[in-house]
Amino acid sequence: MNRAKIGLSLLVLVLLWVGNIAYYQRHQLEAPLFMKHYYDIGTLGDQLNVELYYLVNQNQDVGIYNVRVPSLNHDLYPTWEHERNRSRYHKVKSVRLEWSEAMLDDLGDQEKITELEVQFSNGTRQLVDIGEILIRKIEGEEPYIHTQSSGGSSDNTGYSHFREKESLKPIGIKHLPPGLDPKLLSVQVNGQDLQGEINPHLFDFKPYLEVNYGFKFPKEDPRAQHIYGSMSVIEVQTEDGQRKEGLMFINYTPNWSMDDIRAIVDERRGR
Amino acid sequence: MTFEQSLMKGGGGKLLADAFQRIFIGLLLVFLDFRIQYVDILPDFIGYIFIFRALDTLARQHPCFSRARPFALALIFLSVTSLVVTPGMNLLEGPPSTQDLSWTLLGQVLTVLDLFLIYWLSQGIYELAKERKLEELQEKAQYRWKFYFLATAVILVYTPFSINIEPALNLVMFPLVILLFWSMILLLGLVRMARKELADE
Repeated sequence: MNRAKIGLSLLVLVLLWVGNIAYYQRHQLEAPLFMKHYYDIGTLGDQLNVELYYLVNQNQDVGIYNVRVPSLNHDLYPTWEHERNRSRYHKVKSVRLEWSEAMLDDLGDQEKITELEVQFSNGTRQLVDIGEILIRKIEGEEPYIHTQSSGGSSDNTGYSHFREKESLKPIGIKHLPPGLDPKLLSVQVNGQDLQGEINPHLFDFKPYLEVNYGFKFPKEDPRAQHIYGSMSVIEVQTEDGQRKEGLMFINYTPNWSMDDIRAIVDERRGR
Repeated sequence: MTFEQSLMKGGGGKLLADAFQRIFIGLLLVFLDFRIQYVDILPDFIGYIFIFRALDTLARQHPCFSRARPFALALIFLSVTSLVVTPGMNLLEGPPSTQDLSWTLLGQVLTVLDLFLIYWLSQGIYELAKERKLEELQEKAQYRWKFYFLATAVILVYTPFSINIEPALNLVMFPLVILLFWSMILLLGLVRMARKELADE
């Protein structure tokens, strides 16, 4: 038995372990990391739900105990939490927070939330940057035009169909996700592309409206990793000149790949 | 009656046969891993006790067996941990927690000690076969040790990388795990053969 060879082999094995553990540790998050959310949402009757996404280490069994909105001085408790994507080192979790009626009463007409104080199930607290969430208090009568059907797809496109007895003409869309570069969102109304604002002269009065949208980001654009959502409002004009509104949901949630998750972690760490 | 006296009176064959039988049972207990919930119902440390006691007898036949004893003794104590956890890592599972990592490291230490034990055991069988001019046993002792060493060494080297490799890619290790299992069976066969041929001499 050659002692030098054995010693060298054991040294190589130890070095392999040291190297691999160091590489593994390099990927570990010190604390959960929240994704950036850009929502423009409104209260629906006495309901308001917000879904947030965050990253934790893959081997960590940590969830959210509660969330405090510093500007509102309210505690919110999750109604559910799910695991979404997993990579070798991390997993994306989503949590749904529901406002109670009492909390809704305290809401101003429009609230802007950029930070949350989160208490995790392991007892730690963290003030997190969540992006920008605008909350509008919607009161009064229901939207004039009703959605007949709506949907979204994993390719980040979606649609809403509105059908009414009377003829309508689109004249604008309000309340798109905050901070969203309009170039990243393409919208079609009745099959016609919209460049920027809607020009009503391009449209005829029709007894239906079909609005399609799609998100498209340049390759490796970090904004593609953010979550966008809005309860947008489509403004229409009736043949007798009245302005009416309808609700339209616009959503974008990335399907984070392992490379995306790595890019997010690197970006936040400033690498 | 001393061992040498026992040999003179023809009882050496039986003692050798008993010793190799104990090693066979010991290795079988170590290689097999049946668990109810988390508890190992065939504990490794009992296997190593069998091996340690048998090595005591075999050490009088050749010093190689004596050199295997410290490793068997260390394994008796270290393998007690395997009663309730599996030191080492299931390569097909997800990434380990810090605690899993500690067990994995312990598993690597156990594997290295086990390699030394098997080396001196195979070497002892080889030397005894050489003394008695049992060429087939000699060759098998050499070949089967090398096969076991290679299969174990590849897994030893791969395991540190497995903590950074996607679990799906760890499936490539599946054929190697089968090879390791096969090398264990061959090793058990070697001990069985040594029992038959050396004890009959």
